[in-house]
Amino acid sequence: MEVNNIFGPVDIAISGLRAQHKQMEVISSNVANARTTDAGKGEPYRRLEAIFKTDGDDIGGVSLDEIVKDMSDFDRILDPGNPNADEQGYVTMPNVSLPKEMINLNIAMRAYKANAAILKRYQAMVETALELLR
Amino acid sequence: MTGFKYLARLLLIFLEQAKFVYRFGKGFPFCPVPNEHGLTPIWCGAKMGPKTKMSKTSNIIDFLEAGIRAESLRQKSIANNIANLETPGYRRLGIKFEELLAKALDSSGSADLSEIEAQIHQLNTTPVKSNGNDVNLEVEVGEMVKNTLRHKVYIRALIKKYRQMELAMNTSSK
Repeated sequence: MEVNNIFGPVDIAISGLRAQHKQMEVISSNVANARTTDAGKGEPYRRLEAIFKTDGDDIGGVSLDEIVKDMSDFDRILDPGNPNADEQGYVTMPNVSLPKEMINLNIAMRAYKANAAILKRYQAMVETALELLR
Repeated sequence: MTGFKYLARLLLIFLEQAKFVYRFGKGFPFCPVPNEHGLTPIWCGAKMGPKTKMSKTSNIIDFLEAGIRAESLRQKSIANNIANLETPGYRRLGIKFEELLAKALDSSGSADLSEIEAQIHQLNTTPVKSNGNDVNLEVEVGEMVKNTLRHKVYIRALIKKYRQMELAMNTSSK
């Protein structure tokens, strides 16, 4: 990524906004599927997590590396009346924990706001430089 | 004053010896032969060498006009992209201007600014969403911010230029 140009901070802030947008997409998928017992292959929905990486090894923006599945154990709840219940009456539920997702949502929103604030401040900075041209 | 100039030149010679400064050109007498990079010391003056990129038009207003024209076209393309944020199959439009300008300056060494026209082009390299659309709102906002800042720079410079002309015509006083 080119960083020695005047619009470097703009590009970096925008890459941050895009990354947090993606993160929010992943979180909304997790929340929407918090009780999806059938996600194909006879398994309930597995929680997803977005992994980010930096662009280049110097100063640079962020980009989505990959979206991986959370391989932690599924929740099992006792619900004998459920058609998906096993012999003991337990149903396997997705490994999504709503409180955790809400915290992640808050973090993503704050990060999005922080990137937007940088964009705004940088604009103000360039305008300060332009004031010298008056 | 002459003494001061002499001192300043001595300082520059010292800086050049210490490999601090170099500049294109050979306008000043007693200049050494340019080194392997085609560079001569800074005290030889800043006369433009053959490699320096310069446009045929030396009028600042022409430069600014070309820039402002490109910016207003770019603003239109951004507005179009945002309007088609959810149009299935739409690919975002970009504006090519800086690249064309650089190419024109590279090939001939001089370029006529009125011949260089900003072009609309479809990039087709950005990742596509499931509905065949590749417009990203954040990217467009970023482009718009950049465009606005560039526009402000051009307008400010234009205002400054007109002020200077007014000053020369002595209409700004009183």
